[in-house]
Amino acid sequence: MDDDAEIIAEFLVESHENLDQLDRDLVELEGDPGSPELLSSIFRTIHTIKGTSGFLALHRLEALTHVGENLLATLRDGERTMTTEVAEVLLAMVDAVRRLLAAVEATGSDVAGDVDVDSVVASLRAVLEETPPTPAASPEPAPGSEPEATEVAAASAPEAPAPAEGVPDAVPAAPVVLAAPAGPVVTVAPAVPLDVAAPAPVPAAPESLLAPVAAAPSAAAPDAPFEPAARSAVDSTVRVDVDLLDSLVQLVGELVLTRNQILRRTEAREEDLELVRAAQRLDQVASELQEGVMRTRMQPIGHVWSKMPRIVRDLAHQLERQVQLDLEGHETELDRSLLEALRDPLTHLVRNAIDHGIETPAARLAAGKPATGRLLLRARHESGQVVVEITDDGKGIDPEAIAAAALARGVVTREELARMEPRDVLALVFEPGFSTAAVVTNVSGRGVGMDVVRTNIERIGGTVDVQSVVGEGTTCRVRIPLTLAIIPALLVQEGAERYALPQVNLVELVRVEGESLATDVEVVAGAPVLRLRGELLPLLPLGTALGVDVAAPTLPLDERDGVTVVVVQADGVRYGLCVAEVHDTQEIVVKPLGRQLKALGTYAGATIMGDGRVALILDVAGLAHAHGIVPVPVSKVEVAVKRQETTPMLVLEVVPGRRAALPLHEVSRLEEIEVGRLEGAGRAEAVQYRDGILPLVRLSSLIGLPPAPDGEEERATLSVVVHEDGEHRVGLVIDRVVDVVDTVLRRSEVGRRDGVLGSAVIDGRVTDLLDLDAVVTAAGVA
Amino acid sequence: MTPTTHLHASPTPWVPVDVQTQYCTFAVDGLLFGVPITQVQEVLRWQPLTPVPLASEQVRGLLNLRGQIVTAVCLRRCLGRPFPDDGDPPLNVVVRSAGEAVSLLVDEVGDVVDTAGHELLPAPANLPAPVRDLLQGVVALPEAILLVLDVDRTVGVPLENPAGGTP
Repeated sequence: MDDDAEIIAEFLVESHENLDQLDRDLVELEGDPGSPELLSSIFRTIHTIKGTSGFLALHRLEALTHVGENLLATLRDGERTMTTEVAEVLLAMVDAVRRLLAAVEATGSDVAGDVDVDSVVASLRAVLEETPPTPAASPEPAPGSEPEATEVAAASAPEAPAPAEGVPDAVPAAPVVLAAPAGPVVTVAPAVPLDVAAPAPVPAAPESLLAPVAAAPSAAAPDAPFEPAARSAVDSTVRVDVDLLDSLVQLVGELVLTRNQILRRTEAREEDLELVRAAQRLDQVASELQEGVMRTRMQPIGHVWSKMPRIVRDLAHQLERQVQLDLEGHETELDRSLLEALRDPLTHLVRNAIDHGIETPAARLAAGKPATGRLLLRARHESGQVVVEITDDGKGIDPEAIAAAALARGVVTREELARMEPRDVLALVFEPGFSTAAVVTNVSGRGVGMDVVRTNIERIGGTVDVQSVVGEGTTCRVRIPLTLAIIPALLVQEGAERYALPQVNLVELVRVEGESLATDVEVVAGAPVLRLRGELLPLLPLGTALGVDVAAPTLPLDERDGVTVVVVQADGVRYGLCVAEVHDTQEIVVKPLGRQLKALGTYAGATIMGDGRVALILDVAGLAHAHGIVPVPVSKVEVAVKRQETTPMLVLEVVPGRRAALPLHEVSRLEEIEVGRLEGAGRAEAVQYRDGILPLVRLSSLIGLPPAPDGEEERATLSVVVHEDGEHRVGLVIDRVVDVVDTVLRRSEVGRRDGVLGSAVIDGRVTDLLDLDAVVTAAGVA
Repeated sequence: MTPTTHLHASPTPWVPVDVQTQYCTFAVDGLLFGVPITQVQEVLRWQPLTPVPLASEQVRGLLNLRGQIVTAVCLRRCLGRPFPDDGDPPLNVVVRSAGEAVSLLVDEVGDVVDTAGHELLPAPANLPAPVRDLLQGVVALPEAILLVLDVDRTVGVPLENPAGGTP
């Protein structure tokens, strides 16, 4: 019995992989109906499932795949051509097979369950009994015979390199698949490295490389020999139980912590060279081991993307859109647990893009766009994070429609809205208030369940934002960490215990003491709040929150008579945790809590400190929830974040008494240039500068200020701000540099004109904010 | 699951007899408890515990067992027995339950007892409910009555604060 169960388990794993492949192949086949490779690949897959299910006495499954196989045989033998109708029943069959397999997984047999096999078999038979209309030889169907077919693969197939159309045995440009799985823009067809459609390009060389391993686990299908090239890549890997990997990750985490302890001890004993050397070696090996073990849990995002062609195809079909799906960077790897967590949000975003982004072909043509919309999924690594972008070229999101809907739904007030940047307005689609809103679907076309998407992504430590240009399309950008097991965290102390706060929840640290304690911290009806840059931040003393400090419901004042506030944010909630002490930031290994504590909600796990003691990891969202701190619209929070960000600004006087400012990072250099070095005249002034020519412009004339009063010509030198933008550079002639000020910019529209974005109060003076792009353009040098 | 038993308190030499009838015994508040040795992972002397605020009072804290985080549950409190003011019982009997390791804090650890030849009887009806509820049954040994603990029920301590928090 155990043996049987094991065989069935193996069969299930294998079949699921095959079915994923099958989905891709079928969708591709619609675009390339004649492809003998695709057809025989699909045929083989079904044949294998049929054979094994017969062997395992799974008779319903056998019956279903038998009919499917018959239909595929007629396709393969050229007696019939792929049409949308045929594809539809084949995909239905794949779905039924999948459901049967699920039933087998759950119950061990395929008789139970409510899987409707008969109707699928009937529709397969119906198609089989039709007289095939198309002659065998024609590789392409008559144009009319594939009327509303989605272009998922159709558009991409012609771009695909030879394999899809080649003779099966052909060995075309070898490195295409193996060496370059990440072409700059990989369309569906070549995107999948193990694509059975392209076994041919795997040349002899890689096979021989893989040969030693390839021989070993031949648990594969009985007809594996027919697809040696595709299998060889699979056989070079070993299936490992995920639990084993998880425990390895845990152990390595431990090892790293132990290493840290040893290294610390070693520092005190520098005279013992042997020890120091051994410690260094340990350090190195532990780091490499950690990296290696982490990598074992990494999986390419292609695992998620392999489902996308099918989803896009079905959805496009259903909504009568034409969509070309392009997948880029499918080899981008991330931790498998994150991959799992990413699956649903990504699917949701893709659905949204098709449902609400890409217009109907008619509407697209009317808007002057090609009838086929493009959906691009792109993944890449960027500074320790994985960035996934979902871009469509649809109608975009209209911020005004969003704003109107947000107002109508009471998500924001008119005043808040007035202060928002267009970007922040777009971010409102992620607000909970938008989630159920059919209103928004009608008005703006976006937002169904987007708050769930954001919540799910934030739960794994990621972020999501949206950019859109009306009429041109929308991009959703998801950023997630590479791995979850080790996270950076801030250690804080309350009483005798330390607690870890995940870095991802941290906003800032605030220390309130002395006079400001009296003015900035207030207790309203027993609830302490902190005035922080014009907002009122709820305060939660950690001791009270954890119930270890019930005797003192007031704020914990430390020996220096101050309060240390850690401003945290999660799930749209932002509040200040008052803690007794703040330690340093550390990388910690997250470990799960026993089931006695899981439901508590206050802790996200626990970790082991360098001294071997256990420290609890606080769940910022859970703490807030437990203490009734409810979410405020995050848009508001984001605006607040924006507002508190200080920008270093270069403040200058354009002409005496008229101040302007520009961001310091736009400034390459400040120069004093002798008037005598000026060449040219009028607006064409220039100076030789660093092996080139630096065009000079008088800033005053560009931003509509009167030229400097008399006396200027007598100056010996000119103050010049040099701005470089790629190859272009320009020198702005000003009166003088005043200062560099780190300031929180609150831009007002006052004074807005050509070359000036508006104004702000900097250092107590009204200051023009330069629009550098406009200035450079007006100067005619860019 | 092969338990690694480090029963240092046991003078009985390890003889591979029928493990099903072997119990690791320990004393709590003068009562003699037993847990099948197949469920016992190890016995540890006093360990530093990290308290878990807001957890139910039976949960005394977390301990670091070679990198694994183990919840320590005070058996006295689980049984509703009086507990001394001078801290938690000193010894940890680490048991496996539902794939997790949980430590039971007990007063004393006794021998491994072989109950072969004795039946598992239902708990006498007049035992206090908090004790009876956590027993699988009792074994009437000649020299003592062994209370056989239902580990899963014991360590699945109820939560005092089940509400609150995110799922």
